[in-house]
Amino acid sequence: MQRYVARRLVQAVFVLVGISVVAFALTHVIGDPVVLLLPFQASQAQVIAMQHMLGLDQPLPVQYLRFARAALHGDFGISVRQNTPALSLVLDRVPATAELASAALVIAVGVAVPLGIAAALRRRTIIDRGALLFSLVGQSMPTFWLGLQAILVFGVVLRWFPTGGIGGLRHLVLPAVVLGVFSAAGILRLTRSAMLDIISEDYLRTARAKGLREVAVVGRHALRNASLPIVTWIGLELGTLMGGAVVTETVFAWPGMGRLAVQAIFARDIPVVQAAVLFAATIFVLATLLTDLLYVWLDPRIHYS
Amino acid sequence: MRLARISILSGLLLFAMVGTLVAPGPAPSQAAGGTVTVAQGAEPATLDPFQEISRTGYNVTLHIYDPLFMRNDAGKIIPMLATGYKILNPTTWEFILRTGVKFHNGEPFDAAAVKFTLDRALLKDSPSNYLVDGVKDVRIVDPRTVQVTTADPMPLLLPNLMLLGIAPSHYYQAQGASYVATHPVGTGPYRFQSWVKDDRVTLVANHDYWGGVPNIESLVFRLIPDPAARVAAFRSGEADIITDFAPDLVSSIANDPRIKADVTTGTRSINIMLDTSTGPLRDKLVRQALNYAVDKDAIVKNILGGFGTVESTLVPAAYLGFSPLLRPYAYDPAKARALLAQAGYPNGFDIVFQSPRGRYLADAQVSQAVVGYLKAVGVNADLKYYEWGNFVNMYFKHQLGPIFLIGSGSAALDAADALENVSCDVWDSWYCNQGIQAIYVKAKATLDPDRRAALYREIQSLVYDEAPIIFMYTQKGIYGVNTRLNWTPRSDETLWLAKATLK
Repeated sequence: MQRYVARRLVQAVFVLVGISVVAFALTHVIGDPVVLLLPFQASQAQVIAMQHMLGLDQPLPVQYLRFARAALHGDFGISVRQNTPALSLVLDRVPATAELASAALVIAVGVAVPLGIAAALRRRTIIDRGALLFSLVGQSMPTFWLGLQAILVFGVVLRWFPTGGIGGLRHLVLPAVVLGVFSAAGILRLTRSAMLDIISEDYLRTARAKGLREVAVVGRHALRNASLPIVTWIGLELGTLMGGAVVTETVFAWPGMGRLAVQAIFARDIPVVQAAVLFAATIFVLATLLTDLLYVWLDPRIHYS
Repeated sequence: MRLARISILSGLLLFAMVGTLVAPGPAPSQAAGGTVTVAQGAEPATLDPFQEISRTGYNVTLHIYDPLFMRNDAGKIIPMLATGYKILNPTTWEFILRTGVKFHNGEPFDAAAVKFTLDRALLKDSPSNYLVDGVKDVRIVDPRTVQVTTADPMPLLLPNLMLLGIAPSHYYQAQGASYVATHPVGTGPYRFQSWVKDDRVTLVANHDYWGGVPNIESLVFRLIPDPAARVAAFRSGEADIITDFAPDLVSSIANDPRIKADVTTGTRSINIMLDTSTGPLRDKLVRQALNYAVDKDAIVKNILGGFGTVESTLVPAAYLGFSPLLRPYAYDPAKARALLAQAGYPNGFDIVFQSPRGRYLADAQVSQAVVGYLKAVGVNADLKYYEWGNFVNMYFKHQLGPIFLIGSGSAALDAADALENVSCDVWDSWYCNQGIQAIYVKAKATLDPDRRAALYREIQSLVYDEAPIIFMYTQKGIYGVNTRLNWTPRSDETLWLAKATLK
């Protein structure tokens, strides 16, 4: 088991290096940040001076090596726009992003899994059809529209919640629900179909024949076996959400990593883009590793060597 | 059956838990008397006065830092950290500084701080260089007198200095630029309290302010990037002032007596630049034809909701040197066709048109409308959109054209900044007329405002006839202001609350 984890971690390093090269190349291809920092009246001499100050006049491989060497020491450079260390900018956003991502995921799982199970157990009833409708609508509705409607109804008209920004629990509700709806829709579908696959298995019939109550049949046997794909999906969702949810963050003025990364791209703020991309990639890699390790606990037949 | 019920019940339990948070209470409280919240669509990237040169940035930093001079609401220049100035000769200015002023950390304000600030802004890699470009030397005469020498006469020095907040030299050098970016110290009416990045900057009144303690104890500058969400926060009372009020949402607050929309003449001028060095655009008649072809009134009315002023010149009305004598080109497609035929293009021609998208208000729609009008007179414009970063890159590489849409704005409120676009000075220029250039150079070196304005007006009459651009419009500035606040926005788009009061 330890060998497996070690191997995965080594693979992760290669993945991250590859991602950093791609991110670096792409951000450089789309232009340099200097012209976005200076007003139109800036002279050519100024543009050149600033490019030199930021080290942008060096050949690309030299720039990348400089970046890589510094990154190994945890130094991702200074944000071109904000003049503060890029990594600290990203890490500052982590709590807010984590708060929104976990709240959204909790809501999504809390709604979708029970509903998915219910839909599978009560196939073709109104519960089932309602669940499928919810899933369809949830996946089709654009987040910004849902978000703005939520702000209008609950923030402006009813005044139950603030219209945006970060603060206490009340500030978290609307963005987490809006973000959670989309996740929920996917998880619900998956839970329902995973359960349906299992429902007619022989071992369930045996369990019922043994006299087990339905709750135990579903909870201990069916769900446990259906859980692998569900857990996989949730793990991926967590990774994705931790990378930031740009649209939700923009609509609700939530200071998360998604918005930071997108703004950095628009501003060609290369150090911040690098830091954000690598951070999100690391989280994703860890999330998938944890998911794989979770399998061992869920299904004793699985073991790694 | 029990199982299904349990599943559903657990889902409902979650909703119930959310519901307990929902206890409908009173409206989110209006900021307690003494706090005013301003919501903008962008936040300053840094609170370092040399690095942050955006309008949204100045709105925050000019409460923390004082410049040497400012304009009052009527547009007159008033003394701030400088109590007066003398022009010793056309290239030498002497500024007399206010005494008894301290920075927020106790450091005294004196000529050394001014020299430090100007020297730092002059650095080639400083974004604020554009404000002081042309200054040759800064000399401390005594602790309250500074002499500034310019290479050539520089009439814009004074208005430009209004945007340069004076920084504390000891603090800045001791702490370094990186620290100052998040812990600003100035002499201004408000002290920095906290900055939750990407969320809000909080300032508190400076009770030792030389100009008198501000009436409002605390200012919060919030970032709400989405225009509709910004209006929502305004309607719910979470923001007392909002900037960049989307025109199509103004009617949504019509029935609410607590809030209103205030409109200013604006400083953002949108124009369509023409590369006069190639193709059909070399001919003045063609360029005039394009001006007759576009119905600018219709564009302002229908796309901007009427929140714009059609221009006859690229100088906005609020600027020194604006020429009120010129009438905008009328919408006359027949005349446009006649002029095109006269120039040798009876069947029009094909041309490329570049536009940014999402940078200026309704920029994409305006470009599309213009393309439609041009097509109606036979000019087939191939419209290409670019993301702003790419657009700017192309601008600096002189890859834009032959037709492109661009906006301009200046806080110096001087026609020179607008007229630069049709001078020979801009990056190989898209239009260079030696006759106009000669007057332009003379005007830029004329210190006397009235004589300068006269020269600017002369240029504008020539430019009007030459039509090196398609004159479009100046956007009106729309602000949302809560009626509990005694404050009106200014036409130079400077947001300054030091003298505002709450009712």
